[in-house]
Amino acid sequence: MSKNMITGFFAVALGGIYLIATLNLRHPTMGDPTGPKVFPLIVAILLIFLGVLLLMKEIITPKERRSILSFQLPAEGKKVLIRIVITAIAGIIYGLVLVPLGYLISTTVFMLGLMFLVNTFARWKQNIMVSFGFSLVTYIGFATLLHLSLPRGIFSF
Amino acid sequence: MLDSLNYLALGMHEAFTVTNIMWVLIGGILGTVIGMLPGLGPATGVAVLIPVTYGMNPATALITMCGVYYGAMFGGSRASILINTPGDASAIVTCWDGYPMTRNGQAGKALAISAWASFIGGMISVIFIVFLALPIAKFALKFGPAEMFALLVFSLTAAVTLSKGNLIKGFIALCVGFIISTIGIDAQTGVMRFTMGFVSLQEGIDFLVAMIGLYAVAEVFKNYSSLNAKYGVSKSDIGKVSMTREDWKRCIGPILRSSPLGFIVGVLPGMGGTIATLLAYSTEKQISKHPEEFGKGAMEGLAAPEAANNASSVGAMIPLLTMGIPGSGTTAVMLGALMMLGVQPGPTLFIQHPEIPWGVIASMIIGNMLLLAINLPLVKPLIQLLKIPQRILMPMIMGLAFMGTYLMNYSSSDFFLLILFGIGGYFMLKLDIPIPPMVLALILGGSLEQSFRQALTIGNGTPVLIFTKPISITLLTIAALSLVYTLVKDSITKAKISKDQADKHF
Repeated sequence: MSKNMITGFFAVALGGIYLIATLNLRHPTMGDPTGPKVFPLIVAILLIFLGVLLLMKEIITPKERRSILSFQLPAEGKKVLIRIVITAIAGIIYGLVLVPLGYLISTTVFMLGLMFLVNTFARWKQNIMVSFGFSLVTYIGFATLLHLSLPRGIFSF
Repeated sequence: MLDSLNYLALGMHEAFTVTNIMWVLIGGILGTVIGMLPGLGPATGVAVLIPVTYGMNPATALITMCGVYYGAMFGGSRASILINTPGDASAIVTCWDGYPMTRNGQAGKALAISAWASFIGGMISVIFIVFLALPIAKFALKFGPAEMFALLVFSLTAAVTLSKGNLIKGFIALCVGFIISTIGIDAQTGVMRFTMGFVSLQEGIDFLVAMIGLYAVAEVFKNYSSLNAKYGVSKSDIGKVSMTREDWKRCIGPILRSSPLGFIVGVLPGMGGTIATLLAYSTEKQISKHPEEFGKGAMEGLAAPEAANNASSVGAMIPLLTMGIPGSGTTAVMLGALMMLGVQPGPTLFIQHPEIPWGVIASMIIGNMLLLAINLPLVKPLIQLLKIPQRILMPMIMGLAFMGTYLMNYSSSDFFLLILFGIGGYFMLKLDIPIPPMVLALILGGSLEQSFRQALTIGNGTPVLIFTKPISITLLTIAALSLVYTLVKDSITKAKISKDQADKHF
């Protein structure tokens, strides 16, 4: 499927869902006469219209001129997607442990994870140095110099 | 006139404190560093460095962000000239003649021209801003809901028509931004909208989480595919970073012509540096006695867009400060950060807190001088940073993005949204959907809806007010014309391309 096709379908789908959600909004008897529904309604209709327009334009475009979504080399593209998924999961875990473990420990572990993910296992010394260095420098910079409180967790300094 | 000078004196008083000068310097250096890193533009720079401003008072915060912004523009030019990697769209034109100069062995001269052109462009613009800010703010004070609505429509349309790529996709991005802006409790009626049952969404989605996600996390995701890209310049091939008297003679004309041009384009809401640099470049090419040199390393072709770019980024402060309307992704991020601190830029800001806008204006003078001082002598050690590999840089940018999100509300519950916006932004980049219209809609959607509803209320439920006030009619007409113009221009270009193809076939 071409890039414009995907975008068009996405616009129609999102516009449709948004339209249904808008129609289900409560209409208040008080407040301003226009109400909270009108603006979302306009946006929803506009978005569906734009999606349909994009799809129609793409259908009349000759196939060879369409731009296809590709993730470069299939193997490399797959790697990128895997990296993104792992980063996302790491980010969620980071969010869960940040307060209980404290900034220094959880950030070091999060950075270690990311560094090993993108900087290969062979450069493990570099990974460890960058992760520790980053957490320490940002902690000192933000907590000490800028007086913003970062979670201390199990350390108490 | 005299008023403006009095206020400037107040601003000087505000800007010339040790703290503020220090922060301009730090912001400028950090901005230069981030702007220089391959592929990262000023929007990413400001987004990643926002947490630095959390503990500050609004004036210092805005001054620091301006330092980062201008620093990133200076730094971005370094990367464009030396390694041909523009950080954002407005730096593309710099590559056209800057990189050829590097290949011709004139890297040092190119860096000096770019620094001086940026400096002069910025300074000329500051003079304009001093005398124009107050009259424009006073004019904007007269805007009612109808005018405000029309101005917002105009700015958003301009942002779409001027963003490169498909027009329909630009408007789709705009609508997605509007949708996100409607999430949360409706300000006028108190009705809960589109929260999907999440209590945390009642207050709406923080702009900053969205922006850090779209500009920092998505950029890192994009760069996950080019982790092994190597950039690097050794000290020896740069040469002396200076300009000769002969170089000055060739460059001063383009600089002096491009600065006012860049400023005017920057002031127009919704227009950014990209248009300014393109206009300046093509003007100089047209009036040049040797246009064939352009693109092969002509000094004029570097000086003109550099002056225009900085002039327009200073000019962009006018709609931002006087009307609260950002013209680019970067200024949108700055607006988001200001609103976070409880400051709503607009005409009333000039009355209630004159020290904020005027302090910023005064700080631009210091900032420009400091950046020139950083960029001329220190350029050689700074560009060694280009050698830091992407695979070390990207995790650090990611770390900063998460830290900034945490510090916003001292809570890690927004990490989920941050990742969501990062992934969404990545797919937008992949699908060629422009991100700036969405960011602008996200931040301006609320005002657009409110002004629309207020105008309807005053007009007894009809949009009569919007179509009868002269200012709003004018703005809406220009918006419609720009749309038609873009459509016609696009179809002409397309017809030309297919005609060329047809010619080739037969």
